[in-house]
Amino acid sequence: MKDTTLLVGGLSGLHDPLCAAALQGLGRRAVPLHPCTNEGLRRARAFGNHGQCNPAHYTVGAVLEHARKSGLPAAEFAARHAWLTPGSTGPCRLAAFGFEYRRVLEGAGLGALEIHTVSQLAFAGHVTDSVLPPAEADQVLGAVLLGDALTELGHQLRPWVLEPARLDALVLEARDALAHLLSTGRDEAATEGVLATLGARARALPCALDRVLPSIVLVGEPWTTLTDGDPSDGLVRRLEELGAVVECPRAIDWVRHLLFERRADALVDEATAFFAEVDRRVVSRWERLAQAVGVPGRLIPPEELAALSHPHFPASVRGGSGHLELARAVKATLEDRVDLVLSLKPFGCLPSSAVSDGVLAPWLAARRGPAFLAIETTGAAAANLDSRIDMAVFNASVRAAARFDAACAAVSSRPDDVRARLARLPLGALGDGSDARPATLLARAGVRSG
Amino acid sequence: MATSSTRGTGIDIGSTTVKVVVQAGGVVVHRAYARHQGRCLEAARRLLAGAPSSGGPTVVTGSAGVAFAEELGAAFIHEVPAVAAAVRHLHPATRTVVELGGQDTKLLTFVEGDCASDMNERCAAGTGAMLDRCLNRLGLAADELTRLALPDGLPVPLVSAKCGVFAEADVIGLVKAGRRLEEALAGLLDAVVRGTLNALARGRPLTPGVLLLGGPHAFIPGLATLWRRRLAERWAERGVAAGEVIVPEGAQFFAALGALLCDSALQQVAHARRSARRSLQAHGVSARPAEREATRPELAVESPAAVRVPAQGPLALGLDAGSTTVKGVLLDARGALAATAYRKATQDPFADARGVLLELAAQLRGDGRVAAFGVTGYAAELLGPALGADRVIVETLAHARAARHAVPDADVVCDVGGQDIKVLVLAAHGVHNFRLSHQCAAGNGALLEAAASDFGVPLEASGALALSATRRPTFSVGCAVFLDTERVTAQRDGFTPAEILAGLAQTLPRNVWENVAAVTDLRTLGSVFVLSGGVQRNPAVVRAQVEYLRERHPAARVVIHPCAGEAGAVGAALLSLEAAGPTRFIGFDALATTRWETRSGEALRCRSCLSACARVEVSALTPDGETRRILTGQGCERGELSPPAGDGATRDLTEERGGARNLVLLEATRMFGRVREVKPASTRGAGLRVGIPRVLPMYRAAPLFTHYFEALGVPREQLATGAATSEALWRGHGGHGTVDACYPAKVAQAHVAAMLGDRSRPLDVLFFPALTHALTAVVGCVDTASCPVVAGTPLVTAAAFGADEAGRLPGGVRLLRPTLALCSHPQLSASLFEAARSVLPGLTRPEHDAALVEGFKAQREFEATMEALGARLIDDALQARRAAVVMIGRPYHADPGLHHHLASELQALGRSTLSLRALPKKGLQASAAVDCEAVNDLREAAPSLTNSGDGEKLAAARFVARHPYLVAIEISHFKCGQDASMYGAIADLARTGGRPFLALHDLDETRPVASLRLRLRTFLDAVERWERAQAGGPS
Repeated sequence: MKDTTLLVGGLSGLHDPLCAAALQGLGRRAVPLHPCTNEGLRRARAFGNHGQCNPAHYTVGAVLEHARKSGLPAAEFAARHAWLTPGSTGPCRLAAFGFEYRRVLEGAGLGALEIHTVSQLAFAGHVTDSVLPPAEADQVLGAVLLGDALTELGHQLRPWVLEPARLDALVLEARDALAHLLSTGRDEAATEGVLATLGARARALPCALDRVLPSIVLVGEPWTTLTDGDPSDGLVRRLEELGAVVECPRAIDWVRHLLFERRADALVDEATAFFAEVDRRVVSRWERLAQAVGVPGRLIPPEELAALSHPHFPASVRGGSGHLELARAVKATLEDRVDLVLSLKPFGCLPSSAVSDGVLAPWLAARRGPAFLAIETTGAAAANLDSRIDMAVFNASVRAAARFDAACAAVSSRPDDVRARLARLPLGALGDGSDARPATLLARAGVRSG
Repeated sequence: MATSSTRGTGIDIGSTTVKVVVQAGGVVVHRAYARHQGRCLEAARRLLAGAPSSGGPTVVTGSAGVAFAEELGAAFIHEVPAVAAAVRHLHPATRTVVELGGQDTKLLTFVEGDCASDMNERCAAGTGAMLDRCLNRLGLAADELTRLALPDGLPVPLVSAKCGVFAEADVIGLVKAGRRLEEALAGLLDAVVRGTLNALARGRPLTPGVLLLGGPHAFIPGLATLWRRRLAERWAERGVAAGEVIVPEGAQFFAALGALLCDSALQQVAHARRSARRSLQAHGVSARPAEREATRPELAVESPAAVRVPAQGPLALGLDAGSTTVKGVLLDARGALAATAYRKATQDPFADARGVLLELAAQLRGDGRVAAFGVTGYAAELLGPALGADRVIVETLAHARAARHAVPDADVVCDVGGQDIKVLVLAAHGVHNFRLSHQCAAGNGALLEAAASDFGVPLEASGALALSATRRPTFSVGCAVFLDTERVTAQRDGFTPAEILAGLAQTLPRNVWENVAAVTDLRTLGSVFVLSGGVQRNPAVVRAQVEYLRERHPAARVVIHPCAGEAGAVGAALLSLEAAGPTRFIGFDALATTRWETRSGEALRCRSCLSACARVEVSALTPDGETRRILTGQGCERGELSPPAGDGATRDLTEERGGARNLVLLEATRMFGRVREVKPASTRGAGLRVGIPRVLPMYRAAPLFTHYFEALGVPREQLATGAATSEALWRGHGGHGTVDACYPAKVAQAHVAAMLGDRSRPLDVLFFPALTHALTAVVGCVDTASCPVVAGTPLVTAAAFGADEAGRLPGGVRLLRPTLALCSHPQLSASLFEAARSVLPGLTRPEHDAALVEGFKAQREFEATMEALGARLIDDALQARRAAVVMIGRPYHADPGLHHHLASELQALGRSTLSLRALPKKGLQASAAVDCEAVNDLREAAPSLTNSGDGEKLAAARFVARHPYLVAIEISHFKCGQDASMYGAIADLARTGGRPFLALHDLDETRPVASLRLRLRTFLDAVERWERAQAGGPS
């Protein structure tokens, strides 16, 4: 492995380059894979199993695309590289993705390429993994958290800025600066400095805080909700540009979920305490980064999520994201933070389509709460899919507007007056960008009841 | 929200039609409706030009409307608020709207002024388009369904409600099997209704006050009839007061009218969508890729012409009654072509056959006469006996024979028909191995034809038109519903019909070789490829096929069969020559004058075995008044002997019959009975009636749970385990699911509903555990987890049936759904104890422990019994040198209703079957020297597997691969992602040593009789050939 170049991929366009850079900083030869594309999916499917859900094929398809674009003969490419990817593609525990990767690579003449699937637990440090020793895993975890911080900043600010492209440019610039720091082994203070600069520059962008935006909670298959580009058809960006605030799962949430499962499965108290300590350290690191970039970075304790879902979906029933989909939607609904629950998953995702949706949709319907929309990705455009998304965002917008008007009426304010106050605010006044509740907008505008 | 505009023009541009409404002074003064045949902008311009001026604004809506709105500079409104506005305006009392369109189905629910909406997901797309395709394939006019009457008492056959492709296959199969057209069409419409209820309503009863909108509802009265029936059933079952179900006048115009009634503020979303799409492309999300076509060189294709001889002397007659077309040939005694005839299939297989055969008769010369007659194709079972065929031949064998006749050194045949794609690897005298399209890859040939028809392009011109394109969109591979959705999207994105047809043609070879054949190296199949099937008449498809093959296998010789369209008929004629004796053909004169009538129904169902084949009685009425009756549709010769009106009791074939044993059925039957006497541990359960549904996890551990409860004092007769899955159960109790999952999961809700609905013997407790982990003989994998659907379906059941947080169902039954890991005794025991104690107050831990011991004893004894029976069956197979069939599937596939009685059909055809449970797990399987423990040790082969069923299936395939007289059929259900990752590995193992293997991957709620029979017979023919080779004879 030391003599080969590691191809690092499987998360997102913000995470993968940072992970590769972290490995470079440890003296490894590592490059990020090109992002997953529909073309890669098509190539992988030609060699894979009919009916296999698409994350496996998207991910290994990125390797095929990388090999093709390298111009090297397949055998030579396989000999010179190894592929490092987190978990078994996405965090789906049901899939025999190692099997599928091997089949596709062999079909493409890349059978000799080494595959290193790294348990996400390894990123949490102190969990033995044959590929990443603890010290290296710790560095990669830092890169994953940095990727999360950049992603979170984008999600929180994009719905409010007037020119999202300028925000995106700042984020990419910061990602490259962070990658440079990681690859040259610079300390955490320097990376936090880059984040702070990014936060400050982003908050200077022109904005419109008078927008009354619907809130969407994104649940579903973890990999598809985390990744960007073709695998999700850019869904989150699209929702944000359609005018919605989207609360998305993060990589850290999944790492914490895995640590929670380890705690639940532990047979001795020492093991429970050990994984609890690891979790505390992960949270502490995340909070420092979130603070540096200036996003609230709210984390929900896994125990709280498990308790919320327990009557309907016990955490002991696992597979896919298990009880998390229900738990996050329940929490957001109970806190009145959501107008639309959107469940995103690859076509044929059993845990999400056939189980979670079946529990979550009736739960929401019984409360006449937020609307529910399930979206299955196939890697192909579909006019009726666009139509469903438009419709759902439209309905959520109407709901959000009605709630805002009602909140204004409750404090005897005219909506236009409140909006006029909000319009004068700079982006720095935003606070938690993922909170678009009417009460928050009123508070932001300085409107008091009575 | 809505402010009524008194004047204006509303335009609704959907996936297949354009609708225009002009309103002036608050009154509709003009309406127009037209199909756009892929040219939506042209059609919209035309309709608009023909409309009077309203003097008001123009507003556009519909899935394809944004571009036209931009062209006009008009406002655009999403169709959901548009429809909602019109409904509020015209029918304010409405509570529920179902709008069916060409591609989309929408469900709108009005509650206290709010309108919630749902739209179909991908699998349920294209409902209206599917109806069009079915009519097209049956040769019916577009308005045929408008005339369909649905009198009470008309049998409505079960047609798949899951997916348009499945439904299409079912309907074509019904018609080809002789079911009356009105019954088949009623089944189709019923599938639309049930599918909409399943996919959109998520198990909810629709609130009465239902309005049915959209083109199909406006034009097909039968749909409303079926909606009323199904909703009345559902409302009665759920205790909901019935209400009106209305199709309003002008149901197809609601969106266009409603667009005029919406507030202009609602336009923002559409504009934002455009801008968002541009931004996405700047961030790496692919635009629809388009490939250039202009630089492709001329392509030389080996396409020999058939040598014609005069139709004189003794001739062999071949008829291929396919799903889409009917073909006939006359060959001379040496197999040279004397005459051909070809026509599009209609809804009347007899009329089609008569037409084709009389066309052949007209080509006879001199002493030309029929000396032998062979029939193949979807309608062969119906036509063969009625027309006096000497042989009824399975299509694969016919195509193989025809290919070898034309190209003696052919290695591979690729036949693309309207419904099926067949890839046949040839041996010296037949098919050595084969790949047939699964349901999900079916209908690609028909889709090409339907697309051409939809564009108004004559079929024969569609290939040339496609070749004229200078670019083409890239489509994905596989499902015809997805492809059709993509086609419509490409239309929206501005691709022309020529470009779209080019893109579809280009997709076909990828579907054939990557999806159906699923071979990564085409060289392993051979070097001479013969292409046949009607689709080879399309030059764009031929070009795509040849280019694809040459790119990946440069040394391949690719030959278009000289009778590409009629190859099946040629093969049937050639094989009929091998039949001994004078022909039974009824003759052309009788053909011209005989009238055929068919009769079907429950009374005719064969009761010889659990397959319960639906038979059709064909009556041939001759001009002299004589009537000859023939029974068709049976899967084996027993059906010919079984009296038409049986006693209603299906005979049990669990015991040996004609040397064949059905251990799969034996397993499914015995596991729910008493395996052993239990030692009572408690009497606390004496007053309880416990329901244990015969579904997913119970097929893993029913003896454990039934004996556990019995040991706790629940009398055996108070343990209700229901019945195996059946069509009646699904029809009567389906529709509770809150998700459209795989059939084994969906039907679990029907089992539960049936148990809860049995008022004569009400349950106290329903036991449906979330089984997270299995106990398995497989070792060496990282985990033994259950499929997430098996584990999670009890949770979905609780949600679907409205259980409260304590598990109490609305009728008072207590639902127990403990999380159980069979592999962890402490967890299992603790969780089960907690659950049992909640319904058995005072239950002590020692009582529970003792009962659990009894449960495990029963489970172990059952497993041991099955393994002993399996060992004996396998030994006998070796002794008799007759292969037994291992049905590789999940434990619940033992349910005969889930594998559609395949095991019974195999037994009736003389093949013994066993499931994975009956494979020996310990020691050496002596006669064949298979080390049972070694095959179950996956440490080297697949250590990363996490799922118990994956490991067991792989181990079973390893067992099959090592035994000289075992073959495998893999059973899997549509949408089983869990199985999908193992398909390739299992197929590779099961084909070891050239043994035949059959994969049935997309089973669903219906039994696709014709399709299953084609696959089964092709498989069994290959098995016999393989057996001969194993025994040292010719293959």
